[in-house]
Amino acid sequence: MSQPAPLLWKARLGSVAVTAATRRSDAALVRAAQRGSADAVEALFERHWPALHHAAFLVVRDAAAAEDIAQEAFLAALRALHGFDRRRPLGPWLHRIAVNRAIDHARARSLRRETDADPPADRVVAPVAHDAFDDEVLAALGALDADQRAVVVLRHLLEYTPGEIAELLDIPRGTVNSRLRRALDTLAGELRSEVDP
Amino acid sequence: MNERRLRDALHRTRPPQEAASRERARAVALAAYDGAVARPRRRRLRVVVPIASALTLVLVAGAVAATPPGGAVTDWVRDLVGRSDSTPRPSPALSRLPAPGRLLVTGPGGAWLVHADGSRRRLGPYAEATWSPKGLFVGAARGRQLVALDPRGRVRWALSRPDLVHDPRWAPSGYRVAYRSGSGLRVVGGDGSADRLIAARIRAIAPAWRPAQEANELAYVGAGGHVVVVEVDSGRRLASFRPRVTPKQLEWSPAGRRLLITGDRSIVLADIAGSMRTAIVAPAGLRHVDARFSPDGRQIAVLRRSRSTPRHEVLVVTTAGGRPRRLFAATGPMRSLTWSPGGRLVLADWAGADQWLFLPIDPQGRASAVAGIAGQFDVSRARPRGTVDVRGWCCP
Repeated sequence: MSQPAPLLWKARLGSVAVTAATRRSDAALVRAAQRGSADAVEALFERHWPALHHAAFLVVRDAAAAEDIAQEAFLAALRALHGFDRRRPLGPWLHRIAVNRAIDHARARSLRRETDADPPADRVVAPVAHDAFDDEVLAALGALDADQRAVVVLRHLLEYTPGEIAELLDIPRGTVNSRLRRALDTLAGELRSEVDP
Repeated sequence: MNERRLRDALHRTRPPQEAASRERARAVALAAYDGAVARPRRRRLRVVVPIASALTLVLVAGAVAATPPGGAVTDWVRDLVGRSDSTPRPSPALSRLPAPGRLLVTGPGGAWLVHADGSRRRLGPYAEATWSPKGLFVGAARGRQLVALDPRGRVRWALSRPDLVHDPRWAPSGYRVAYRSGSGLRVVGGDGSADRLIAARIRAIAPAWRPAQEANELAYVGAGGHVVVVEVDSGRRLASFRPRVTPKQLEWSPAGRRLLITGDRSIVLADIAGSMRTAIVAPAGLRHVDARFSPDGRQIAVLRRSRSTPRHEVLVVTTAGGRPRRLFAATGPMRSLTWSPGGRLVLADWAGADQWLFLPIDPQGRASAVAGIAGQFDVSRARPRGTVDVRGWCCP
């Protein structure tokens, strides 16, 4: 399982760029987990699960699928824990796994949608938003394809730079920028107002 | 609206039932870690007390399990300790199959054949696949294309459709291949000729060929939820009935007498006249994921999941009725069941642990497991992506 380059990445927790102290703490937890500490695994889970789950949900817009995707991402990381280079931040590595899986899932679902005459209730998007504007934003996200949603989530929820997103998704930086531009244009159109680039 | 408002809206739009999801995922993660990481020596003394406690629990559970309410207590204890039934120690690689025959597998690395000695051959970049009845060919789908391959991966014929192709199924006669394309159901000859539409709108459920018939008879679920059986060459409709359940999967018994209709809560056996009986009902809180007839048609292997926890379990039940017998239960997603050709084993795809489990039907038999499945079928990437699906175990 490839890891992001050590110098390029800023580790993040959700939308917050974390300090060097927290990064070291991540490394210490990984070391403890590698030595058999379930407490360390639980601490890593507490730290990284919310962002993984949240990002997956915004990309796939399906609560059950988001849970599965985030869970599989964390399990994949656990399976590869022994080989993990502790000098590198854990967050981007987890985000890379989760967002790529979310994109795969959303693409597969969009291919199946043509014959999903009667989707089961628990697979239907269940937005929980706090005001009408949030509902509109979630609905507008549905107008984007999975690749565009992923770059929007990575940029505006997890706050990666376009260069970092390009590495996470293994695509050229220009593609990231064009997807962001198109996504914001679409969102602006959906919301009938202008979105600043 | 500006970027800040977009960012705020994204932050406020949280997944529903977030806390419950977190608790389920935490349980799975800790259970998986517990099974995957060897504890260091210096921790041994500290686990004496938990082990003693667990032994006490097991002894108490054993004492009460002999009584009917005891079964429930046993389940409770098993839930407490996570992975419950004896989980075999997985071998790190698929060095051989524990029963004769060949597996057909699809995953992020394409379609693969797995031979009895564990050797694998990649057939090509196909997303879905089906065996021909004697295992001489493979029908495979990728995007808008349906192809027939020989076991070396050479394309014998190919067919392109305007819509995406899914769920190819080769007829038992060998002369027809059914598949879904767009919202319709189509059938093509086994030589790639005479492609035609059978039904314009069906549900996104794989069709099922009826075995042991002279004619090519096919069951599918229509757009309205009816189960339809049609003789594809004449177009004659043999049956159309509404099952008691919302179907998610169809499978004929090997003799072609009964159609297994799997629903979330109930699994129903129907005959061609449309008369039905319920084979198994899931207890409250459980949902069926997969159900498969044994090769002799006398048993059904059933995969269930809990709605509220990550728990999955594999059962077998005889088609004549009686209580289901549990083969295995585990924490973490399991995706499908596949019988070995001789009916001695059930292969359970334990995706949550990235393992295949080979579960013996004989209660005295020993289960075995293979770890690292995704990596073995996605060899081009250091970090395998996606899941692996077992499409069939064929033809010893």
